[in-house]
Amino acid sequence: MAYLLVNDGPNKGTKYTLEEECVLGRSLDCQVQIQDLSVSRKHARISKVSHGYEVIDLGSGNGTFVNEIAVSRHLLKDKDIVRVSQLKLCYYEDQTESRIPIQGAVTMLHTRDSLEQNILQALDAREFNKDGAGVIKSSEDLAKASDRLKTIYAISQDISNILDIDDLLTEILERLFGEFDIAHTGFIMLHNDKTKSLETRALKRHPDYSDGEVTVSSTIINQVLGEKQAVLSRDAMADERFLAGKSVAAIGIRSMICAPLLWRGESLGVIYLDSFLFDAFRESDLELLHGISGQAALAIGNARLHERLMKQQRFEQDLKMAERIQQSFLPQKVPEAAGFSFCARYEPAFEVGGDFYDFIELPNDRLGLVVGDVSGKGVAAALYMAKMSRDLRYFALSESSPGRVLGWMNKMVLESGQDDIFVTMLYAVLEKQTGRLLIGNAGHMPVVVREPNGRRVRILDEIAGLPLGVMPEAEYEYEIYNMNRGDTVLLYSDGLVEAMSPNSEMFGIQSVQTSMLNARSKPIELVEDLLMDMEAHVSGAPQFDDTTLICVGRL
Amino acid sequence: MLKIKLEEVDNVTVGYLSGNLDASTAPELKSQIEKLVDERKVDVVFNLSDLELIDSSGVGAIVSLFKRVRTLQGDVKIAEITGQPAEIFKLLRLDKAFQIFSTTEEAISKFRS
Repeated sequence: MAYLLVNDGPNKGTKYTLEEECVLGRSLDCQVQIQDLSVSRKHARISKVSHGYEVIDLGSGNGTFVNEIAVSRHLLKDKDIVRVSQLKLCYYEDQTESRIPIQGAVTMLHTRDSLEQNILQALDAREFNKDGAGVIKSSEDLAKASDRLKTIYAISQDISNILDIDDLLTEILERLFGEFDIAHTGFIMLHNDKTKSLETRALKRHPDYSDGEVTVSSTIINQVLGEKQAVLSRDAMADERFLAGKSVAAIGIRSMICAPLLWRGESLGVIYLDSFLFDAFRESDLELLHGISGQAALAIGNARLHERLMKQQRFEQDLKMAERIQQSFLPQKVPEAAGFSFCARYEPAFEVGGDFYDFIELPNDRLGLVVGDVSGKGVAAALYMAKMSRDLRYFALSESSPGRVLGWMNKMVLESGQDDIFVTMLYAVLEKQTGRLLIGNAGHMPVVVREPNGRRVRILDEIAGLPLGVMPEAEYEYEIYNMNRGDTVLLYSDGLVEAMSPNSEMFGIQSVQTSMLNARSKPIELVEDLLMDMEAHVSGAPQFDDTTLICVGRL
Repeated sequence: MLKIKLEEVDNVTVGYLSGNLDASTAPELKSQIEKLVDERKVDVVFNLSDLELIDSSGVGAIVSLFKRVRTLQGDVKIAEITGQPAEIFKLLRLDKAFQIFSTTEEAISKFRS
């Protein structure tokens, strides 16, 4: 809210909050009443306009001045001085006292310099004795310190085993109100890492002082959080207004103590207590609060760790479950067919992955082979993979051409409405009678063939279409490879080719070829040898991609 | 790290991407893409000369823009792609979907013709 502040004279510091309209004058019904005969009954008006306030002279006898220039109508700027006779009012624009809604029940006031909280004491939290004993100068100090330590110890005992943060904060406030019977408001704010804001997590008010909103000066909070200091303060204007004989409650001055919750050197938030009693808190109170806040921070830190641990455990259980479910979508055993030998491997980089493979028994003695890779990673990719494997089984049984099957799959991915997902897929149909292999490829790694006895290794990459889910008009063809006796065919995902060494070098298609040339001939042996070479290349470096292999040998 | 610089030339948005476009940085590109689509800026050229690395999530972000602008009669063209990103585009046969040019100017001029 914009407001006017009396600049000097007996009423210095009086603040008039501006709403729609505010009339200045001698008349009793004026919002700003000025007992001065040189002031007209209705002297000037300050009215809200679209972007701020304007002052209008209401035909006064002695004029209205803005920054000592007589005006009849004038749009006010921040810190303009409006003068009516002897009275000088400073205009403060809205943003200078904006209220930032911090989450929860407490409002942060961005107070101006002149209204700033007067910080009377500040304790540097980092240097302050960790045991909360404070500085001991005399035997009296020693007795006080001993009492303080007993209190801190007792509170610490009671709160250290509360693992629920909300219960813990409520208990801390209860105990503080027990220690500080002059406290009227108390709250604990904690940083919310997600929203990057301070959140009031617990609030307690004295039943006799529970009206009105709870506000706090940003100056105080910033000093406590920024400087990691515990502070004792009271309203800076309080002295003058107090001395001017106004009631303390009426002008709403408050004494307050506020301490940071420091945990492992970081501010978790603040503990705040205030009182409507003038000078309610002493330095020793600040020291006590500070000692308690240290123990409170420790308990909060532990409760947070516990919370995180519980979340982590739940998450890990979910992942284990997802892993089991994903495994259930993969073939439980390799097919058996006279004259052929099969082998498959699936090694997700994480618990669940976006790779998949399948063997689909088809009519007329045919077998569908598929290796696919869903873009992205983690649970989302794994869920999508489950959908792919189900859709593919449907289309594989209803279409005989691998190209048309991929065409349908392309439509399915596009229609799923997941704009940023695409799928690479190699779908091949093996005719078990003839050894003909019909290969359709949607943006996937090409099939590699090893001819008998390691004579030659070839890459079959003559035809390949776009990945599934990129373009509706994409067309998919297929090529035919006639498997001879002794041929071994490898279908795989990019995790094999892109397996990274500790120096971030890829295994590469060349190495795949070389490895296959030198490998033993049965599919299961070939895969073993190939993976051994890949692992030698990787030599323990962490992998981020799943590796999937299907190997088919014609005996 | 991904840096995104957007320019507008002859009603074509040119996006200069540098650094890595992967699972961790793709969301940044996606939020920029949201804006482009909302403002109906549907003719886009990505200059990838300084893009060092792209993974499937990164390709996913570009593909998602491609799909969305095409429904609005726009297009995404690729210019100056080299290194690993060029390999990935080749491997995925994305040249069948995206027109790829050796200069940004050439890519922009194709929108005019």
